[in-house]
Amino acid sequence: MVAASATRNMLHQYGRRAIGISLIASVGATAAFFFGYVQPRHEKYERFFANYDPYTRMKEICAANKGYMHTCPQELAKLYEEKGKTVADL
Amino acid sequence: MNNFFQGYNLLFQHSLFASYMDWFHSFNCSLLLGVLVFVTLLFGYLIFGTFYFKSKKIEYQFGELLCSIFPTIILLMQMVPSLSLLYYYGLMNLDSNLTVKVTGHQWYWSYEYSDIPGLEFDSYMKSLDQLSLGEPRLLEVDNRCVIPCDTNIRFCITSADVIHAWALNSLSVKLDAMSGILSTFSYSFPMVGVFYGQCSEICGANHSFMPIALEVTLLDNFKSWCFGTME
Repeated sequence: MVAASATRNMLHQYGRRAIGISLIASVGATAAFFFGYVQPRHEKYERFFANYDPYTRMKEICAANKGYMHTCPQELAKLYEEKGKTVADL
Repeated sequence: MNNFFQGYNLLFQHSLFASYMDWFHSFNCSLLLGVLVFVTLLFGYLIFGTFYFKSKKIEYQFGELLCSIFPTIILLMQMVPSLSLLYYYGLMNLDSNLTVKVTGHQWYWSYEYSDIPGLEFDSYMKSLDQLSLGEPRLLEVDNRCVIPCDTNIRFCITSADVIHAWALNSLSVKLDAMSGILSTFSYSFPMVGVFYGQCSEICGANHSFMPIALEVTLLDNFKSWCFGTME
């Protein structure tokens, strides 16, 4: 056992103060990052999926006619022709 | 210039479940930032403070108690969204309208639509000389797995030889394909498009050359594709 230092209470007091200040700063940083970045990012995702229309997006992709999706009407017509199946007019 | 979804975090997630995983990742990053600030400030206090602690054995049981309390609080904060995500993932597996069996081989994938007789094919990576302009290298395949959007798809993943992993990064999907074991999960894809993945379990020399290409399309287009693909 080591005898308690004469300045023990003072050191503990300063230590508690440092821990308190660090804790407040860390909680503030966490809250700032969470409410400033994490939640807005998630809300953007929510709005995007709520407003997303696959039919509109499909029309945009197929209108480009770049062969990006193999299930566009143009690509399906080619597939049917390769298989020798009848294809209606697009 | 990066937009809101690029550069500093995970790439854009293409399903609602994956966006929740993105939120959980960012939430953990915020906690990590808090711990970083806390530790940095305490280190700064110990380094730049006017008191020299090393020469004295100062007992501070309260500080040691805090070293147990703070991590416990952080883990409890992480527990709630983590279990919520697991529960949500469990709810996703309750229903399925279409079953796709995925079989891993050395070194390609086989897809079999159990509900559609005769619809099964192999999926090999396109070599460099087969690629068209704009097709990604080492990711494009000769036969894509096509599924309808907004439909619960059940994937049964297995392997014919060694262990593979069927993984789609932007959809938070990664399941091991093991021989003799049928791993199943159900998923609903809200976005149309082409999503790429790769085998994520070391499976031999050509482990890097067995990509996954998943094309999500409308239901009517999917039906037409089925009729066109079958003999």
